Amino acid sequence: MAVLLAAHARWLSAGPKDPRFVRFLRRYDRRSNVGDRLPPHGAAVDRRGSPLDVALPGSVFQHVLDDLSITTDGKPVSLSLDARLQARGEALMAGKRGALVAMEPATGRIRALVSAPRAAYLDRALNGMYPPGSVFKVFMAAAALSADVDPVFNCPAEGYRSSRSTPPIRDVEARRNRKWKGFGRIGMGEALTHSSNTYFAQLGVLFGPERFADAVVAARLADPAKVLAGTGVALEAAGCNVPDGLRAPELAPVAIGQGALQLTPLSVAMFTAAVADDGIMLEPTLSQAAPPRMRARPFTFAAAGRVKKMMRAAVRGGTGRGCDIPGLAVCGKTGTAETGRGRDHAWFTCFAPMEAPRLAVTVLVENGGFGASAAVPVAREMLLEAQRLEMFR
Amino acid sequence: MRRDWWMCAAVMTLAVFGLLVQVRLAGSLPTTEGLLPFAAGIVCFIACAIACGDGRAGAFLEGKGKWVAFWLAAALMAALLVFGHRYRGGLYLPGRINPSELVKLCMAAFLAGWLGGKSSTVKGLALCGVLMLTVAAAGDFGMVAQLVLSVAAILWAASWAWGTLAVVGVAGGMLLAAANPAGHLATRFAVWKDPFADMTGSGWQTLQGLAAILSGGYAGSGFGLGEVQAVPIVASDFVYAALAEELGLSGCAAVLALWAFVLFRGIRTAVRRADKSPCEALLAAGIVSSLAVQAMLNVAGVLNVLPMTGITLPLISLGGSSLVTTLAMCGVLAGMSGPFADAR
Repeated sequence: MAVLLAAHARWLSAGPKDPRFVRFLRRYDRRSNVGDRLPPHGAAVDRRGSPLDVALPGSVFQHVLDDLSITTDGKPVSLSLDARLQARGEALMAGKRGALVAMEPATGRIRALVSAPRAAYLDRALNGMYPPGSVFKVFMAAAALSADVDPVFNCPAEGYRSSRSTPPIRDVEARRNRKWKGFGRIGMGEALTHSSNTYFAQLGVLFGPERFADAVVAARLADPAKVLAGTGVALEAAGCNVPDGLRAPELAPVAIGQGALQLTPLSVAMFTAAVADDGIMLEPTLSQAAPPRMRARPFTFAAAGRVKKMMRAAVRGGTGRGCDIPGLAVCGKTGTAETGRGRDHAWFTCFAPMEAPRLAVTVLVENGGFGASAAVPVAREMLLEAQRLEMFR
Repeated sequence: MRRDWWMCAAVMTLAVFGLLVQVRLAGSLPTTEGLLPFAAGIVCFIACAIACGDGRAGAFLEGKGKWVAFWLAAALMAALLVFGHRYRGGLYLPGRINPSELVKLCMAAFLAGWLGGKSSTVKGLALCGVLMLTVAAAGDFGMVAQLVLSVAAILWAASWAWGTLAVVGVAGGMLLAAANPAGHLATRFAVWKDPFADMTGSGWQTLQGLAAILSGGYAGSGFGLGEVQAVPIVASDFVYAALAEELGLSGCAAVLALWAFVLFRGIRTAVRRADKSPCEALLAAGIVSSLAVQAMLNVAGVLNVLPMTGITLPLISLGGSSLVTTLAMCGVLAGMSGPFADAR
């Protein structure tokens, strides 16, 4: 009997130290008083060491941080997130459905990662699959320029038909204004600034299935990303849905982000950051300690430089005007993705400053309507907050 | 020698406490599995105490008694194997009566009578082996474990050589392996070795039990205040987890101390009767060892120190047959403790 009582007492002291049992309790135990006796779970600090309350109940992070804090033996986990930027992002996305990613282009470190509303099983930023709409034109432009494809197309108001059986792909202006005459003959710069569907539909067809497939592989769009690599905890961002066996006419809708291709908000942030970082894509990471690692080299230096200028023009005088911040050279691209039902998904992806990008921000608001009206203000507030936090110095 | 009233008081305290625990776990007074067996058990306790008093138990066992015990056990097991039906992996007679509980007492009585009467040990062990085979055939792993250990204890008390014990151990091990209902044994060993391998499946009950114990800590949440229903089927095998959550280590220590006191007084009775009636001494040793083994295997199983055997915590766990038999066994102990007409 004494031996049994000793075993009982030993369990009372050893149980809370058994990492597998602690994990079991956090996942499955219904007794609230158990958790109180264990070290505060999911404790995490940001890159500066400030407490981070992303481990709020109900988020995907909860379990991840539980696992992480076990690997660090109860010490707070140090994440790459910035507590104040994260808090601002959470506040901006409150009441909306969607996702927000802010990452450092040169290191791949994620500074803010918001999935709204908080859900335990789906992190929209990492695993949500969405049609990218016009933000995909950034990828198309950079990929085409990297392959020395830089055409001039006639872009009339009646749009472009990739085959006889499909309706024409037209520009938004043509729908708004019946007297509009079209863009006429334009190059890629003007097309990206004004987000011309007619131009990019033709570019997709000209680019062709082989080169498109090569570009997708070069950017590793379909590969999942381990955002906690090196910490011993698995947290994976999904690879994007890239359809196989596309034929040239089918690339017309894909090139404007309305085809069968679906991307995660993180992957949009990743190719935006690749443009910002002179064509080099880094592994996205939530770990502050993990050293930066190159993931891919999807675009050439020259192509990335030209797309940067086009994105700058889009913010200065194009669709992204709402994000023009005095004293900060913001480069960005709006997106409005038709969903087939309900209002469109609103996208905006941007980075700043143009010369030495320090932060890339991607915002998705589900059924938010126009990217310029729903997503751009969120990104603008994030950039302003980053500026206040002196992230651009 | 006066009757051991302190032991009687301890047994009654445990029995009443067990009934209270069952009322708390069921949320109401359980009639068929709680109150009825409790009343029957009290009657059995008193009846056994009177019947076994004044040296009558020893005299009876030296005579026809051991055969009565043997054939009663054999008949019960035969009836179980013929008429039994399965419930939660165990075999039961109609009315969910588990007669193999009574086999514990019968076999201890038989072996005590046999060895106390200086008959051939090998033959007696062989007859016990037959009984245990029937229990193994019924697939009652925990009961076989209990019987083997109790036989070993009686042999040891009859000062038998370690070599014989080794033979009993080997034979018992083989019996245990035989009593393996549908691979339950392998599952229980697997859970014991690594409860996390299938934490939401076979390891669930054990892990929830351990969580309950941990949440109880040293002082417990208070009687009736724990979330004990988080442990599946908490009222029977895992009642120790409920005690640990609501009464803490201190409450569990009190319950185990009461049991230790009862067993200690049983051993004292055995020692005192060793000169007058070896049969009674061996019977007391058999009963004490059987109850001790039962309590320890149960608690060790809940603490995951040993694999779960599926046996109950005597007097506390839900189970009518077990309650009645345990009270009867304690009654026999009480009867053999005194008073004796020839003592002065």
